[in-house]
Amino acid sequence: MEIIEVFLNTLKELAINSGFCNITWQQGLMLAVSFLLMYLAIVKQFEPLLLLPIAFGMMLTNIPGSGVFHPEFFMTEEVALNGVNYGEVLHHGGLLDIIYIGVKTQIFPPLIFLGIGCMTDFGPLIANPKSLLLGAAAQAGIFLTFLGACFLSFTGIPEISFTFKEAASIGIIGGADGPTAIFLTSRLAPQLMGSIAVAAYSYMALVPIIQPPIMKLLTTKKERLVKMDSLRPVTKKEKIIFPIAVTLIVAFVIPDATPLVGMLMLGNLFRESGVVDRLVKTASNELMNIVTILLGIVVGATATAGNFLTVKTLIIVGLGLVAFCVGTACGVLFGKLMYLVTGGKVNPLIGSAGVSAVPMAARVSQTVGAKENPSNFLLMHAMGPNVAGVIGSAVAAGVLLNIFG
Amino acid sequence: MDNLLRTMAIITEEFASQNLSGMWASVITGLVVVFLILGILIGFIYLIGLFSNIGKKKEKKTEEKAPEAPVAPASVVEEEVYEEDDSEIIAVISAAIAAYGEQDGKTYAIKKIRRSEKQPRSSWGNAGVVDNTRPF
Repeated sequence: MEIIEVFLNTLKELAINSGFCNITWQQGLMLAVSFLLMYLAIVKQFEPLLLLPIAFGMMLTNIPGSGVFHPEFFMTEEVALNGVNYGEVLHHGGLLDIIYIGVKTQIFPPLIFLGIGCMTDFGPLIANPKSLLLGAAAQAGIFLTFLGACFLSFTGIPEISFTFKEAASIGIIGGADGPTAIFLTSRLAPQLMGSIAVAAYSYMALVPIIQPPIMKLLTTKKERLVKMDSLRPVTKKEKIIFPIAVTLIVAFVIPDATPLVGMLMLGNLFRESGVVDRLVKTASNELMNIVTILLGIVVGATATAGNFLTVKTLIIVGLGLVAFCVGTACGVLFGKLMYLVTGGKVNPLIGSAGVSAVPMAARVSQTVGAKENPSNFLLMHAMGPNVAGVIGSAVAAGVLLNIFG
Repeated sequence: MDNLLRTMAIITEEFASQNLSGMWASVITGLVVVFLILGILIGFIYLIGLFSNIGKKKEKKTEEKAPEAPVAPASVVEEEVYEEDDSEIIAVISAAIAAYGEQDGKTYAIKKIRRSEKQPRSSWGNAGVVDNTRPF
């Protein structure tokens, strides 16, 4: 009899402590959101490499009582004032709390940039340095969206009011660069990390849908038909000097951008030097894949019901779209300016590639151009502003950190 | 309601204290600095290109001045090229031009197919471009 009683009590305890008894409707909704993101990643293949771990992290963190992630260790006002108590995290934290230290200490985004540097050919940019201007113009989306987010605060409604730091983190979505957005948000507004990361990666996946209508709207058929001269060959010497020079120039002017730009250029130097093939393979494959898994899962874990199910998330999603559209439009408009200045030698369509999203944005320029004239190959020309956008968004992040960090 | 209005007033006031001019200054500073840094980079890349081209020109000049070393007659190389069975390549090129002609509604005649001396991109590179540009 006693055995049955103990057995029943244990079952009762298990039931009381189980997720089924403790789940709130908010957590249920967050689980549904995570399933939707998994669907988008698996079936629609929207940035699956990052969206899938993000979605799974979101699911794990919203399972009641799982204890894998504790936002209170990282995202309270006390932490903002006194810093993270890493001893407490290591003693009492869950699995994802400990992994999150890699984001909080800004290790993961620069490591991803190392891998990106190993995979990026800056040749088209070196061959046509003017395309850096297109990369800079597209960053206007970041600053104009920052402005928009600030203006919302004039309404005085607490739910849609953002501090300068939060507005800067929202604006960086316009850079169309996930690691940069995570890097900046982890420093300025960690409480918005989940919403900003999901918005950034979702819009990056939607580049082929968002950009073409804006590009067509802002250009004439004549401009879209422009065939650009082939790029000059770039010597190995130039390719080796480039990453060293960029690191020195950017780091001296904006030291806050050094972790991102430095690692990007270190990866590129590995690639172009041609003497460290093993390091290139590791950085661009195994290391990058490992960091992508860890980064994705913890960024997803920050999207707890309390942080994510707010009006602010909806506003962030809306402002993120504005940032993307404004960035694309500014790139194309600057492309039009270059078209006029060069007497019709520049196709303005390559301007839209100035919002990073490598190589998707460049492919969109190519596709839109090829629709007008199938024999027009803009891809390599668009890769210049595209990789310039990566440098530009890292510099913009450095500037914002310098002002608000 | 009163509380809500009071909170709204406080937030607006706080925001105003962060000051409007600071907001505009941040935007202008940000844009100017981004353009400035990338502008410096443009100048630097041109300089690198200039110096590496000067080096190249010097090499060319010394090559021109150097006495010609005895080399195997070019005709031998040409013969080797023509000895290859290029019929498949010719068929592919013809088909591509015919397909292009169909789009234009014009007819093209192939008079000569010559291997280009300058090959800026290998066939694997071309395959990469095709892969990257296929419709998504």
